[in-house]
Amino acid sequence: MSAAHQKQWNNRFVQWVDDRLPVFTILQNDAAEYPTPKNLNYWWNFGSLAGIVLVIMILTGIFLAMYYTPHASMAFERTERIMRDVNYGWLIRYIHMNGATMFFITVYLHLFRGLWYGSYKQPRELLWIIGVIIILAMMATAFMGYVLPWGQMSYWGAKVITMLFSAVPLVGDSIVQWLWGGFNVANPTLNRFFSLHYLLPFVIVALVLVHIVALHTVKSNNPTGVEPQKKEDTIPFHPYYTIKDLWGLGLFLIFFAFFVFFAPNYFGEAINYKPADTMSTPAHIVPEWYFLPFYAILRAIPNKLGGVVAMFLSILILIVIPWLDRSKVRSCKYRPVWKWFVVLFVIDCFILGWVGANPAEAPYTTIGQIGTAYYFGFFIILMPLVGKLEKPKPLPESISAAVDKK
Amino acid sequence: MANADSASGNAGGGGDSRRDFLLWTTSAVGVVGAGLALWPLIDSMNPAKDTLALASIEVDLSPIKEPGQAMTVTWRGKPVFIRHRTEEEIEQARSVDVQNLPDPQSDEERVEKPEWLVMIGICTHLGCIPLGQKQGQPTGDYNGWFCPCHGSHYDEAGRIRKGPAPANLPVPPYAFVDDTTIKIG
Amino acid sequence: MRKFITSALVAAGLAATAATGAHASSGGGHLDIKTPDWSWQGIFGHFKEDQLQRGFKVYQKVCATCHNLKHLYYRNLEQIGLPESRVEEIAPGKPREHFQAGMAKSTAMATFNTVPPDLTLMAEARPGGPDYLYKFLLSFERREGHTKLYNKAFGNFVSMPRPTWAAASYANEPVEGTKEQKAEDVTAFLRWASEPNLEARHELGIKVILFLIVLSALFYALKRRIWADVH
Repeated sequence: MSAAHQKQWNNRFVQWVDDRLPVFTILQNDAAEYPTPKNLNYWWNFGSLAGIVLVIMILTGIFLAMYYTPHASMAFERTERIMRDVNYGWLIRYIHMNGATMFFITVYLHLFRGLWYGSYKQPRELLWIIGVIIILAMMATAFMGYVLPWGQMSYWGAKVITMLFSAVPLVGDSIVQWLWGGFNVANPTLNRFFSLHYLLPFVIVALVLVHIVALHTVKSNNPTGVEPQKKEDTIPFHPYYTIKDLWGLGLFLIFFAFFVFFAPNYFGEAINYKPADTMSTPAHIVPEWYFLPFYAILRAIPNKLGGVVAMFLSILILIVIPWLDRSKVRSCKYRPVWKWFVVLFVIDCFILGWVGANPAEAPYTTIGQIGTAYYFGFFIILMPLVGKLEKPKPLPESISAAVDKK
Repeated sequence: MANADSASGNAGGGGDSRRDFLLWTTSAVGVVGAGLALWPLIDSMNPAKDTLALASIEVDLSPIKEPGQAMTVTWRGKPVFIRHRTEEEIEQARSVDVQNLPDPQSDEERVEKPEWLVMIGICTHLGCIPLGQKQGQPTGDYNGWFCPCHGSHYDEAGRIRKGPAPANLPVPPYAFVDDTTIKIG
Repeated sequence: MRKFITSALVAAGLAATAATGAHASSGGGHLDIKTPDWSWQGIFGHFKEDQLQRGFKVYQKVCATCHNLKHLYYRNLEQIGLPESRVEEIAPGKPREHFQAGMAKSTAMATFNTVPPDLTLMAEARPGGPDYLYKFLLSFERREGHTKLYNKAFGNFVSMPRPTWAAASYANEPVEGTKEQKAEDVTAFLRWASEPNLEARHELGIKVILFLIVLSALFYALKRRIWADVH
């Protein structure tokens, strides 16, 4: 960030610190003055919301860890003790449980925003790729966190997901043993999952900071997808977007609080209140909702290795979309054909999620396969093709021109 | 945040004072909310309900058959010294000049029943456990307890007499449930 | 912008309705047993002390021979309105100790060839929650040629025998001692046992959401003022 251009401060203490460590200059440049397009809509709220949820998750997680015990024979009982005997333990755990859901809601909406308004396109490719890496780290963190209470779904989810790696040719079984630290999901597995579940959120924090550095280098995209050209196109981040983000935060917290206080187990699986039983598998193994579309893709491919590869590719493919999209226009606002494919893609994700929640049998398997085909076709075929063939609507001259027209 | 005023000042135009009022109200409510939200996290670090439920214990004194014997029990994770004192010990403890003690306290103030001395066995200097409970251990210059860490001597009533410790061994809250049972805590 | 807020609120509302309605509709399936309107449901929901006390009596007399409540402490019973002296009588040891009911593993294996599950979390640990539990309790039936009973709610044969409802006397209770009433009471008790902090959760939730509404309104007003010159 632009610490090179140091500011002058009236307060001598502030000046003293800033001369030695330019925290105030950085804050001033990147949190207050940061020139932001003046036409950002509410879709631009979800980035900061996701950041706040990350902070909430780390805070509640630290306090839960003070009482949790990562041992196969104690984890379930200790978790119940948090719910019953620790002061406000139930509140902290319900916030943490539902916080995972809220984190994925905000991040998925944030990702959709990027997709709709072409935020991944030149020069924001790295910004986008860092975002994809954050999602991958979040998924790993969420998965390992779900294992910690050591309920039935914790245990069998851990088993099924780690077994995915057995699909790797030749060394698959060795990898799985290495992941487990034994011959089955057991205490060593729980221990390492706890260790990594505590570590990864801080890795995510570091990635988020890198994400912000990249953002402040290339600056924010906006609903027109036209870069700001003159001073009138932008406004300082503070107070305009700080207050807009706070107002969005207020509404979001109401939504969050509703689930924490009045439907805390809505997103969870009832069977996870049954302690892990290593000798009996629950009838339906379902991952948490945020993994369902990917789970459907896994099951859509009738080959074990193929399914695993497809599932990982379904996320990794996001990394290359800055180069798959051949259109010169960013925003779907000016892409009359492409936008319908994006809408269809969102619907497809919901359908895949629904398929993932249902058992692997007719008609779900077929629907899952069609959905998977569209999922990949959307990126690999439609994205380059529509980009080339589509005739975009005329772009506004500038952001100000677009705003004035309204 | 340093230049927040100038930025919001530019943006305001008319009605600045009304906005200032709104700004301060919102900030105040927001800060109070954030503070209240932290309370559950802080309070979670206080002893949990099951820990508090263990805060009081009942001790059966019947294993001590005759005067001169002692036992140590654990209460809230700390050692509690219980000693059935002999007539001579009680007499000795009551004959000292209380005014000249480092931490003046009469023997009567330290016991419920003269023959039973109950106190927390943690040296008030730096938290070591004094010797003198078991037979054959050094009892210090005052026939009570002796802390080997930094040489504090306690007398027959557990009062500090010599050495760096600033105060007498503390007496926990306790009461006799019946003749041979006490409830500590 | 307005449109977005409206749609966001509608979405939140829909999610809310779905969430509260979810438990009522799921579980049990085609059974024609009508489930009671549980008192703890909804934003202002709370337990009824007299019902919990009756439910505890049913648990003690009917369930406790086989099933434990291992996450519950005897002292927790003070929360359903039993006086301390009564709790001390009930507890085999100290009130601060965990429940010690149920059957020894070896006896259970010899009698039922399985270990009766712990019931502390039973009201939450099955899809359908308390509704399922209530239906399960009332759905035992004998089928020709089988020693085990069939349970329609479970959809299979079960090792558990029919609950001996008569063991819990309702002679001194203000309600009639039907098996439906006893099943309802014990389900309520088990729902409480699964989450003794439910009422605290509801009470705090109302306060938190009211506070957040005020805070959001202030943020919105401030946002309007600050943005006045941009629009």
